[in-house]
Amino acid sequence: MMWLLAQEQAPVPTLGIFSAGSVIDFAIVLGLGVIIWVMVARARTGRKIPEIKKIAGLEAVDEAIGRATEMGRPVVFIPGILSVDNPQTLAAFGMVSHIARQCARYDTRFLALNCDPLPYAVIEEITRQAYLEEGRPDAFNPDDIRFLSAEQFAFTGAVIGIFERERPAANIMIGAFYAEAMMLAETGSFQGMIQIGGTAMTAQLPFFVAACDYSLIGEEIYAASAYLSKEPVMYGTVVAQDWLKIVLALIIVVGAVLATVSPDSTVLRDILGGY
Amino acid sequence: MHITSDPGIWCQAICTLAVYTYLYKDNPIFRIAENVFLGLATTYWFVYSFFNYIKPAIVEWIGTNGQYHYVLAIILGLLIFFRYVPSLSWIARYPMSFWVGYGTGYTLAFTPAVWLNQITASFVALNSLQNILIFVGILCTLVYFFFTLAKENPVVGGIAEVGKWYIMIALGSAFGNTVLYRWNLFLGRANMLITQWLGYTG
Repeated sequence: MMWLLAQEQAPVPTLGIFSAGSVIDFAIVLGLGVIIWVMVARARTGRKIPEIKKIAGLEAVDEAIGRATEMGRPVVFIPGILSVDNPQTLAAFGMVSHIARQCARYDTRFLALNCDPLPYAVIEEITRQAYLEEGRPDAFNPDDIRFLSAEQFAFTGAVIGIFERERPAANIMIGAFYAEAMMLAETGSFQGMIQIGGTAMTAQLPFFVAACDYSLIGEEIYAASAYLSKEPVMYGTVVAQDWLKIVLALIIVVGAVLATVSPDSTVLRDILGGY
Repeated sequence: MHITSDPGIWCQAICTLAVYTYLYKDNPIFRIAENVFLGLATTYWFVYSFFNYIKPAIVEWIGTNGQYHYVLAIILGLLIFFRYVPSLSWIARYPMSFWVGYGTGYTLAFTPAVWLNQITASFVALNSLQNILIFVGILCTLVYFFFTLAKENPVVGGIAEVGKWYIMIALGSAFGNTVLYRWNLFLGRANMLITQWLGYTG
């Protein structure tokens, strides 16, 4: 429904395809797609793909699950509070499968707490599949994948209550968080959980850094699924993103030099679609 | 001091104090507040969704305006309920796939517009210390997020280390800023309790 409403409010496209100023956006997405395709093709044919640097927060995921297993307590996963049209929620989906599989393998209870009904439905399906792939479909409990409330602070209160009563040993929060980030991380820290917090919300990152044992900063959550899977084919997507960042860094350098040498020049801004 | 007789203010005060009891430890009063809030929020969003999406879609958009394409959206939405029928639960995967596909496409289509603005805003003239610090900070921070190059190249790793310092300074500043904001929120609650509820104005 929201999608159809968005369609009605969209600007009239030029040339029948592009909305005004979106040609460069399309070129970037297309370019990124080509680089990803090349890197994935390289990986599939067995050629060398650069490895991803060590990310402590992701290395700690298995450690957190291991600790929960030893203590016989649940692992909690919170995919932020936004819906499936947010890239951070999509990044969270990439991690759920790995965490749920590990929990199924070690017979550790896995709790996923959701604030939005769409990620709730998707995460339940991913988790069910993960348990199936580990050969433990009987261990999957749909009641452990919970939709609590679509209201931000009602959700927060409910999560705090679950932290108190279910006593999880590990709390993994990956996705888009707002003001509830500090409350959740503080409560988890107070309870002595091992916590991993990751978000691209710059205003909330400090709280994860301060209150969590490990934090994933911005872009690191987007590399998570490739990092955890350790599959060269998925590494290809991260390599492609690195290449795009190199291009953007070069554009910034050229833009700064132009702004210094010729302050009135708008050549580069025009090439970038007038942004 | 004159304690108010306004039931709305009393309700606010009791709920505020009930939530603050958690600062001592988890207790039945906090649990009541938690469950009341959860129930109210669920009801609110159900009513909100019904009167803002479901009813207008059926009565106004389809019934009055004849915009029958909304029927497709309604059918797609209803398919999700097949997850409660074990033998047909696979059907519920179609709307989920649609949502994830839509989310991915939306992100790809509209995200460049956001960061292209940030890129062009980074075109600063390198004629002052402030601008040079900004320029160096942007580049080093960007390099920090090179995941595959830093492992192989020590120079890139060194630049990324500078980027890490920039990030930590920025996060420290944001932390202080937000803590002060949260303190203001607490003062707002305390002000409500003291002036509106207890009626103390001295």
